[in-house]
Parts: sequence; C-alpha cells; structure tokens
Amino acid sequence: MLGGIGAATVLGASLRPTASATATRPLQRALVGCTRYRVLEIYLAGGLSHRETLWIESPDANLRWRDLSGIDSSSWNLAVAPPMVSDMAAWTTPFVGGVRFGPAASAIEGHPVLQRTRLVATRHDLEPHIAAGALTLGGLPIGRTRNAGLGAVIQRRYGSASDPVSFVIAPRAERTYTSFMANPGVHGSAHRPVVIRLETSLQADLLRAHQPAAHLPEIDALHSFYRDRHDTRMIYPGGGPARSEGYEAYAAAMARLMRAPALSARLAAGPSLTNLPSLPGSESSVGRAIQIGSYLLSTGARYAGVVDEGVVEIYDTHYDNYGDLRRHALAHNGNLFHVLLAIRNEVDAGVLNLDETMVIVRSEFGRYWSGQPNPNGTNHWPAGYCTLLIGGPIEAPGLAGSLQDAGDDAADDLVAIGGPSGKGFSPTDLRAATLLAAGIDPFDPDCLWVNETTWQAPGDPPLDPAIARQGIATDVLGVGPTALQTLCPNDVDPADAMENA
Amino acid sequence: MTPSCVRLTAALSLLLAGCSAVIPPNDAGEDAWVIDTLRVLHGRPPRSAGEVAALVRLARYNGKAAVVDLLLEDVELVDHWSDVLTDDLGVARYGADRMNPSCYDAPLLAPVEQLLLADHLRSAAVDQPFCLPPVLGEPGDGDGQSTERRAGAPWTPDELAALGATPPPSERALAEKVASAQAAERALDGPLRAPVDPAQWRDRRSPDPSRRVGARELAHAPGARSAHEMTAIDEAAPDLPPDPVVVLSAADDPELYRVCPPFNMTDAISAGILGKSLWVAWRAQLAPDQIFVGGFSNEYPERAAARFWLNTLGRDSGCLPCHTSTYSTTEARPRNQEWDRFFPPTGPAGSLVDIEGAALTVHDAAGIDYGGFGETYFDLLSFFRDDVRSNPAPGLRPWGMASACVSSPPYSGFVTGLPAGNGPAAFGEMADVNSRDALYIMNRFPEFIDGFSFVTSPLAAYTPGSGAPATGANVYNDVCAGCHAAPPSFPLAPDLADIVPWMSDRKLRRVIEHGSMSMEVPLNANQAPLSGAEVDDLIAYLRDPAFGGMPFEGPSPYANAEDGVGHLIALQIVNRVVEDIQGQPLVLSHGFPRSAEAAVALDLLVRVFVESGWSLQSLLRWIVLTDMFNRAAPAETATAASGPLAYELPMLAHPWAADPPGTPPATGRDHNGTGDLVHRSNVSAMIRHVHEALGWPEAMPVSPGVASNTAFPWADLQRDLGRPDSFEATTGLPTMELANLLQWERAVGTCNKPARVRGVDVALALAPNAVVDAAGNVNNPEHWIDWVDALVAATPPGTARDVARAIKSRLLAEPGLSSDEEALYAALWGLPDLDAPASAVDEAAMRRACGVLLMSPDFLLRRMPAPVAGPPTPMAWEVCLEPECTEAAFCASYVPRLRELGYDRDCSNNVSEPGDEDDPPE
Repeated sequence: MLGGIGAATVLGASLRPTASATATRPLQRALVGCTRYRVLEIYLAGGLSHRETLWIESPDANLRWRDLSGIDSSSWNLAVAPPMVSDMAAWTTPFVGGVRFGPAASAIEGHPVLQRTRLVATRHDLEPHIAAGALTLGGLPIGRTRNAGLGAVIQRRYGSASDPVSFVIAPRAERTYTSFMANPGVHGSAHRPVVIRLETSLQADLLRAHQPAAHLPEIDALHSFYRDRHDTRMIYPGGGPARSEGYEAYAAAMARLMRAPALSARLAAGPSLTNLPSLPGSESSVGRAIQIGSYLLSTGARYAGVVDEGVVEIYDTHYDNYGDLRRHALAHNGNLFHVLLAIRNEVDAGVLNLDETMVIVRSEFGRYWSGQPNPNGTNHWPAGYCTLLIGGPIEAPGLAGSLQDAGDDAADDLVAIGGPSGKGFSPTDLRAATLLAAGIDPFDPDCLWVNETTWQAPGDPPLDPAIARQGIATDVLGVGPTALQTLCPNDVDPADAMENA
Repeated sequence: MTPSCVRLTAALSLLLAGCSAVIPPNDAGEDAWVIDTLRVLHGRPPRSAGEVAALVRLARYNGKAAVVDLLLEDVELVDHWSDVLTDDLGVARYGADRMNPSCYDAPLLAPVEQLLLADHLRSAAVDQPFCLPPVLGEPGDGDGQSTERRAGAPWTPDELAALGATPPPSERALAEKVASAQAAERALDGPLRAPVDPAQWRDRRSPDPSRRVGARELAHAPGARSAHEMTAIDEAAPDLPPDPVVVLSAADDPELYRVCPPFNMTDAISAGILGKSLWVAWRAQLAPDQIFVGGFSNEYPERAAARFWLNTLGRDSGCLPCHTSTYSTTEARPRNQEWDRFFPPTGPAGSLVDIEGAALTVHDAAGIDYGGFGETYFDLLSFFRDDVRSNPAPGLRPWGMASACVSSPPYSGFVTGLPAGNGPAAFGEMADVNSRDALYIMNRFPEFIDGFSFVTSPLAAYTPGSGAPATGANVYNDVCAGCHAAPPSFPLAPDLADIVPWMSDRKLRRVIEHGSMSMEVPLNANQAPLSGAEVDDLIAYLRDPAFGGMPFEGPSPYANAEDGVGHLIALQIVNRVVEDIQGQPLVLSHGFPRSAEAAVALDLLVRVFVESGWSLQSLLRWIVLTDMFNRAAPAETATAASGPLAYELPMLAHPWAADPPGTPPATGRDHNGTGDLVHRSNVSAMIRHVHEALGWPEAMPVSPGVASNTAFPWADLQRDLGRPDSFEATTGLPTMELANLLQWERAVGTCNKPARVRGVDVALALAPNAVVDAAGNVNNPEHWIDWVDALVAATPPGTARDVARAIKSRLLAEPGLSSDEEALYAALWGLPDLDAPASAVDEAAMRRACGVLLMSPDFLLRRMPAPVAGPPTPMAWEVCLEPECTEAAFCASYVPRLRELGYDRDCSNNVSEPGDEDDPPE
C-alpha cells in the first residue's frame, strides 16, 4: 500500500507571501520515504445515532432495536436495498470484537471497504451542536487560537493560495458546519479550502462566462495590477507583510478567481456539479458530493470535505423518534447507508483509491434514547459514539477503544472506553491521527499540543511528542512502529525526503 | 443621455486638496479619512474627487467633527444605516424562510413623519395607534407635509415645533453630554467605578481558573438583592389593564387609515435613527419577531424565543442551555489550559450582567414543563406565548403597524379569525396581555432602556436559603452521590466543585427539580420526585461551607431585571455596529468581549450610546473620530528602525493574535495592526455602494422579488455575501472567498445593470423610457441609461485617457493614472496607447474597465489607505450625477446646514488651483 501522490494540481500561480507564522511549504512533488495520505472527511451533521447503526453484543443491549423488523426497505429510497430480514443476525453485519454493524453497513458488506474500516470510540463532553461541531471539525474547542478546519491545515502544508488542494463540497444552503470545515483559523485566510456549493450556476460562474473570453487575460492583468498595488501598502519596510486576514482572504479569492476556468475544466471532467435530492442508488446529495470529492482527490487534491445533512431525513431529530423507532432507525441507517454506498461505488469505480486516501466519517456526537426535552425525542450523546476510519493506513478491520452500555436504564446508552485515558478517544486525538496520516506533524506549533490529546495525563510531566505520535499511530490508526515510520511522523519536508532518498 | 451625467470641467478643483498639511504620526491623512468616513456613514464611495476635496478642506478649517456632524445630519445616513440595521436585526430577506418582505420594503412615511413615529414608539402604549397631528393637513394641499412620502425631505425647526415632535439634539450637544457624563463617572470611586484600564481586568481575575469571574466582592455589595427577590419584584408588576382591540385597515375605516397611516419596519428603523433613539427600532421589531415563526407551527414559541435571544440579546439559543455563565464559551471551567479569555460583559456601574439571564425571569406562565434545559431560554417560551396562536379574535397591530409586519405568509390565518392572507396575527387581544407577554415587555421598554439612570441598580448577592444542610446531606448521599461523588462515576456527571459555585440558587433548584442536558429527573423510574423541602435542604447543603458546600460566586445579576435586558440590548447593538465598521465584533456570542481591550472599548461605547439616548449617530461619531480609525498603511509610515511596532493598535479586531501570557511575544502578534482592520464591507453596504457608484436606482431596503436567482441582488449573491437568510439570521460566509468573487463578478463584472434592478423615483428620473411593471419593478434594461452610456456620448471628444480617468475617478475617487496602469488600460481596450480618441473606446470596453475597478481591493474592501496622490493634473471629463460636483459646489451645498450646526464656513476661497496650498487657520 502506497500513497502515490503523483498528480499535480491544476491551478498554479503564486501569491503574495502569507503573513501566517509559518511559511507555506511547497506542494509535495513526489512520494519518497514516507506516505502522505489524502483525506476525504465526511461529516454527518447533527449527530449520527450509533445505537441503531451499531450493534454491540450484550444480553440487554439495544432491546428496542429489534423493532426494526417492520421496516420497509423501499422507504430507504435506494436502488440497492438492504435485504428484508426478520432477525437481528441477518439485519446486522458482523465486524470485530463483538461489534456488528447495523443495516446501513449492508452497503459495504463483503466489500473491501469493510475490510479496511476501523471504528474509533469517540467521546467528549460538549452537547450543543455548535460547540461540539467546532470541536470535531476544528480539532480544538472554540476559543483556542489553533482551532481550524483540517482542510486549511492540509492546504497550508501542500498548497498555496492559488493552488487549492483542499475543497469543501457543501449542500447549497448549509452554513454552520461548512464554516467550521472551511475555517482557516491560525493558518490564515489564504489557506481557506475552496467551498464548492452544488448548484446549477457554479460551472458558468467558474468559467466566468459573463466576461468576454477574448479579453480575460487583459481583465486579469488589470485585476493583478490593483491587487499588487494594494500589496505594496501591506509590507513593512523592514519586514514581511502585515498580518491581514481580510486582505489575505481577498487576495486568495482573487488568485483563485483568475484560475477558476482551470478549476472549471477540471470539474467538468468529473461528476456533475448539480445538487440532487434523494434519488435511488448513489444519486443522493451526499452521494454526489462524495463523488465530487473522490474525483478531486483523484486529480491531485489532498483534502475533500463533505457535509451531509441527511438524505432520508436530517440527523438532528429531537422529535418523535423515541416513540416511532422506525422513523429514527430509518433516518440514521438510511443516511449512513447512502454514505457508505457512495464510498463503495467510488472505490469500485476506481476513483477513490483507498491506498492513497483515508476516509473519515464522523459527526459531532451520537444520540441516545431518551425523551428529552420532548417525550418522544432523542437527544445528543457525546459520551460515546463512533468515528469511522477507512483506508489509508488502515489495512484491516479493527476497533480503537469500544462502546459499552452505561448500564443504567434511565441513561441506557453507550459510553466510550479505551484509549490512554480509558475514556475513548477525543476529537482532538482524531485530529492528531488524521494529521499524522496526512503527513503533517500533529504537534506542529500551529496544530496541536501534546497535552491537548488524551495521551498526556493531567498532572503528569510533559510527554515526549514522539511517544504521543507512537500512541496515536498504534492506538487510533492501528499501525505498528514500523508503519509509523511510513507516516512521515516528523513531517519531513518532501524536498528533504527526496534528497535523503 | 442625461445631460447632468457627464460634465466637462477644466481643472482641478476637485482633486485632492494637497498634501502639505501636518498630520499626526501614522495618520493616513485627511483624504483617506474622508473616503473611509463616507463609506462608514453613508455606505458609498465619494461622488467625485470634488466631494473629497470639499470635505478635506472642511476638516482642515473646521475640524473633523464638523465633517462628521454634517454627514450625520444627512438623510443618506438614514437610508444606508436603515439597510444595515435591518441585517443587524436578523431580518431574513430572501430564501424560503424570508420574513414578510413588505414589512421591510420602502418606507411608508416621510422622514418628518418618521420623526413623529419615533416620538410615538418612544412613549405610547402598543394599543395606541400612530396618528398624524392635524397640522399635517390634507394630502396634496400644498403644505408639503402630507402623508405622502417625501424622499429625502428635510425638516425645519418650525415644522417640528408645529408638529409637536421632539427635535433630535445635535450631535455636538450629545457629544458634550456624553463627555460630561463620562467625566462625572470618572470622578466616582469605589466598587461602582467601571474598569477603564485593561490591566484592571487582569487584576480582577483569579489565578485559579475555576474562580475567574471574580465577582465575589461585588456580589456582596450593600443593598444587593437576591435572585428570588428579583423574581418576586418582577411577578408583582401589575398587569396591563384590558383595552379594546385596535384593528386598522383602509377597508375598515378609510378616514382613520389616512390620518393614522400604517408604518412598516423600515419606517421604525429610520425613526430610530432620525429620532436618535435607536431602541425604538428594536422595540418595534418585537412585533414581527413574535409573529414570524418559520418552521413548524408547534415550535412557534421556541423559535420566537430563539429569534429574540439571537437577534436582540446576541445569544445563540442553541448554545445557551450549556453555555451560560456556568459553562462559558470562553471556558470558565478549568478545561481551557491555554489561556483565560473570560471577559464578562460589564454593566454600566461596573457590575456584571448575568449571562444566565436572570434579567428575564418570566417563566412557566403557561405551566409548561420543559424538562431540564437551560431555564432562561425556556422561560422565554412562555414569554412568547403559545396560546395566542389559538386565539380566534382578531389580533392587535401594535401602534397600528402595517399588517404586513404582523402577519406571516406561510402561516397566515393560523392565528386569527381573519381570512387567510389578511391576518394581523398572533398577538391576541389586549385582555390577554399581561406581564408574561412580549407586549408587556414592549410597554415597559421605555422604562428600562430610555436612559442610563435605571441601569445603576445595586447588585444581587447570594442569600442563604431556608433549608437544613444536615438533612440535605442525607438527600445528597441518597440521590446525588452515586454519580457526582468525586471522581464522578457517571460519564457526563460533572464534579460539583466545578459547577455549583457558578450556579445561582435558582438555577440549582431548576436543575434539581427538572434535570439538565446531562441529567434526567427523575433519575430512574423508581425514584420519587424530591419534595420542595428536600430541594431546599439539598441546596442548603450544597452551599454550606461547614458541610464542604460552595457559595455562589458567579456573575451577579441586576437587581432590576429590565435594566439588565436594556443593557444587553444596547451591548448587542453596539457590537453589531462595530462589526459593521471594523469587520470584526467586539464580543463572542453571549456578549463576552474577546479581549481585555475589547471589554474596555465595549464598555466605553455602550456608555456613549446609552448616554446619548441610544443615538446611532453618537456612536458613529465617536468611532470615526478615534485615532484608530485612520491609521496609515505600513508601507507609508513605518520605517525599518521603527518596525512593526509603529502600528500597535488595541486588540479589538483580531484578539486571537496574541500569545498566551508568559509566552515570549512574537513580532506582530501581541497587538493589532492596520492590516487587521482591512475587511470586506457588509452585504448591504456592498450593494448600496455599487448602486451609488454606477448611478443605478437607489438600492431598496429589500426587494420582494429577490427570493429567486433571477433578480438583483439574487439570492445566491446575498447568501454568498453573508446576508441573513433565515429566521434564525443564519449568515453566509461573511468573508471573502472564491464563491463571493464569482457571484460578484457575475453581478457587476461588466458594470451592466442586471435585469430587474429595482428602484424608486431616481430610476424614473434618469430613465424616462423605463417601464414599471405591475409590481412596481423597473424592468427595462434596454432603456436604462447609466453614466457609462453617457460617457460614450460625451462631448467634446477627448482621449481614451480621459475616459479611463473619468471612470477611475468616479469609482475610486482617484483620477490619476500611472504609466503601468495606462498600458494595462490600453491593452484592455485594444489600443496602442491612451492617446487614442475616446471614440475608440466603445461601451463594452468601458464596462470591462469599470468591472475591474468594482472588484479591486480599493472598491471592495475597507482597504489599506492609499498613499497620498501626487500633484493633480487637469481632467477633461468628470462623471457626476448631480448638477454640480466641483469642490465649490459641494462646499456651497454644505454651508446652510453647517450654520445650523454652529459651524462657520466660508467657501469663497475654495477654488484651488494646482499647487494651491491652503493651510488651515492657526
């Protein structure tokens, strides 16, 4: 397994030097010495319920789950429906360690995708969507200066303002999670991922069809003049550029605008950019977004983020789920089914290469069985939920930590255990693991600090980052010390790696 | 073509008035200040270099304050800021959830009538319709004061006196009042003195992260009252007496309708600006907020409450259940190991505003049990009552407000007995109005936010309860210890030491009785609910130090709940205005400043605002006259020797730049600089800006036809520029990214007026052949004439250079062209150079150049100030939509108003020639 990184991005001009604290590094030229996986991040906005999408074998677990037998698969609105069965064993897909996947996993049952899936027991203690979403997609809680979307970190490492290697594919109207996913944070506005909203006008806008094509070079030359003129006002006579998030954002956007036709041509060769309602098969909105993300990754992008608001129904359903189990189960299994099916389809089509790309499927928290605040609602549950890692360094099915029943009927739900703290893995741990897989040192000064991960126990002496890196690789990604060396643990610059080779 | 669009002018009075004046170090100069001030106050670029020159010279002779006072008195300020404040109020203008567009469309009243409306909204009960005084006479009787709209019509002191309106005080008078009040306050000493030094904030913070609020000494101030007492005070307030329902429509009573004309929210917002009492706009907005529910009808009260929290108080209801003063977004808990960023918002007397919302203690009126969510938020569900939805009686239109403002198209008819589509809904009869309804709050509004005197109440303090702690210990061991004993055994059970000190008794009681996000009550099916006495005992136990309990140490609420609400609303308005101007807010959600410096600035600005009677003008005046407003670009004033430190600015725009205390500061990271202030204008300003620059019809406050992507400004443009698009005021990405520029280029990239730009009388004046459709839309792009058309036909013939300079002067107030620039224009136009005749530049070519300028940083951003221009050279043409646009003409137009404002201005020596160096008088 090797993360071939060969394809260069299409876009190409440089931009004024960033004012960020760390200089932008050059685009990776070749894979030498270690592996830098691309990342496809799929965010299930609103909290996926793992109560119905997972099955943990125990005598009294998920009793209510059995009511699923009455589900009509046609309601899933799929071309490939899960089989109709009447007992739990048939409804579920065996995984490892006493864990079975729920009906959603029928999309990948027997498929290599399942064989390269790792379940990570995840946990934090933030219940509001906004705070939990910012933590999950930002890697750190709101208010930390280094809270930033994964795409920005990767963009800064591998791209430049006019060389977008990070993309966020978002539903037309979604705001909040798209903002988190595209948040540049301390990495600077110039490194904001390109946000692609699926709408019919996008291609024409990217082509700049409203400008006379014959004059575009001269138009852009004049654009550049005024931008460059402004640049000169931003420079300290004795130093570098003045920090300016607002101007960096403008300058990056302008650089990308001038390259937009190239991006358009690149996208035109891929899936349609038209957003879709729920349609059979992978032709769902999230399926289309995953298609586009996979395609971009196959053409040189290093990060693609997808926000999924749900296909069958939204994830954040506080109403009527408890009383109408089928609706709740349908929504969450149906939504996850669409996601997994799209991944499978892209793998089968040879677009999504799991040898090069790690897929991370996550939400801001789980949901639990309890009537709160409405008698039939299901509420947020950050104490125990799962993150799926697929492909990349994951070569075999596995579990990182586990979910256990809390054992209290009134709070009958799953609690994450395992990991260094015994309490499962935090979203910050997962950020560290993803950065490691992406070939970025998670403990870069602008990324994470060791004591923000669970490997650093409170009150203990500061932990050697190398030990934490090893723990991340072993515990979260499930790779051994040898494999860790293939993950560019010390963030070896590609140029250096080439020289060393 | 329109003759006034292009005038031939010989020289260059209009150019920048020289650069010889002495300016403070690092000041960007008067010309930059004028351009920026016009953008802030009127939302537009200069109309010509002549306007800049006239204002620069006014600043030199009479001071910058004279320029500000002049601009503040112009109706342009009202038009622009009405639009901006509509966004600040969270009005959804497009998309499926848009609020009733008619309520936010063109104003229904003339400015003088809006001033009267301000008086009415300030003083009258909601059941008293707004009626015009008899002096207004009959429509069209020639007195100029009919009920017909008179766009831009000024008022005279005599008119105001005749109408009985309260003339707004001049900004000078307000500024003096504010300064006086602040001087008096500075003379105060003791705990009521407000912090004015950032260091004081740090001094007040405990080194113990879990005890950082540091309000203990304030909480025990003499005369403090408990939260229980506050609640009792609130509940003892008398209900409003029953009153007859007021129903107004033209069909019901034409005569009454004429004399008492309906008004919409655009009128109310304008009234708030004109009357220098901005709170009246927020007061009026409660009506459409209450009726506009969006979403599912069974979520009506929740959504109405959410709007109130988010838009009026700046709190996000989605976060509120957890992120109270107990669990702050700035992490008062020890969770944040990086840096304490906890800066509680201040009250005017240095007190703390209780983020838990004890300021609003209307709860459980409808007997609804909302379980364990944060109490205050759900208290508001009863504040926005559900029961009025089923009231079959016709509703009330507060103050006779237009029915469009109190009806909700998706749900019309669901509340009242009126026919669908005609329902002024959701308020119910006055008989139902009581102290738990939003109408009650409206009636009390003047009392608690009209001035400062009410916001000085003593602070509340913890008052020991009546329970028995020893008995409470048993309750604790039986019920609580199973999860909460240290270390907590249940995953979401917090250590009580982390939370009890920050929970008021009321909050404790609420959680114990109803649970919380993490704790259900009862804990299991076999547990009987705790009795009231048991709860008392348990609280006493949790509080009693003798039993290891923890007294309340959280922020202290106002003793007078309404004072607190008033202060929070003022804080919210100030923060939004500051964000509009500097591109970054001063506070996080919930009113927490983002830095010590922001805390001080916010405290100061809220005082300025409230002391002036909630005058937007006073707030703006203060901001544009600060030194921070007009800093020069680094390249202009920094030297290698002085380095970046020459640009130290307070951490108001980008507070996250700093490293944590104890960390060696990196260069440029421990302060803000000029670059941190560069930002894209807000969406309303951008749209107004381009309308103004291109001479398009006046941008409308909101266009009913813009829900789709077929009309300008189309929905995606508004979304991508960050305009609120849903009832929850969810914005787009209010930054600048590829999507913004793609939409912007589609909209203005060639300076072609998009189809269906909608306008008012200006459009008709400039385009006599325009067609107005049945909906009132000017929709005739073929016949549209703008100044580019006019420039094509300008005579006598000039050169291509003249064309380029005219375009650039109009859009950037910068008529000069460098040699590099000339070459680029020539290439763009396919010419060897710009000496070619102007006729070689066709309309399409002009529009290409125009489009580039509209996307330049100088147009699109509140940009880094430009260097001072070199000596001016004569211009052949000037684009001018006014009859005159020379410096002299502008100056002459200012004189009458300046005299009213007390400034003596003589324009006789105003026509400057190249090389003229008028220095200001000594």
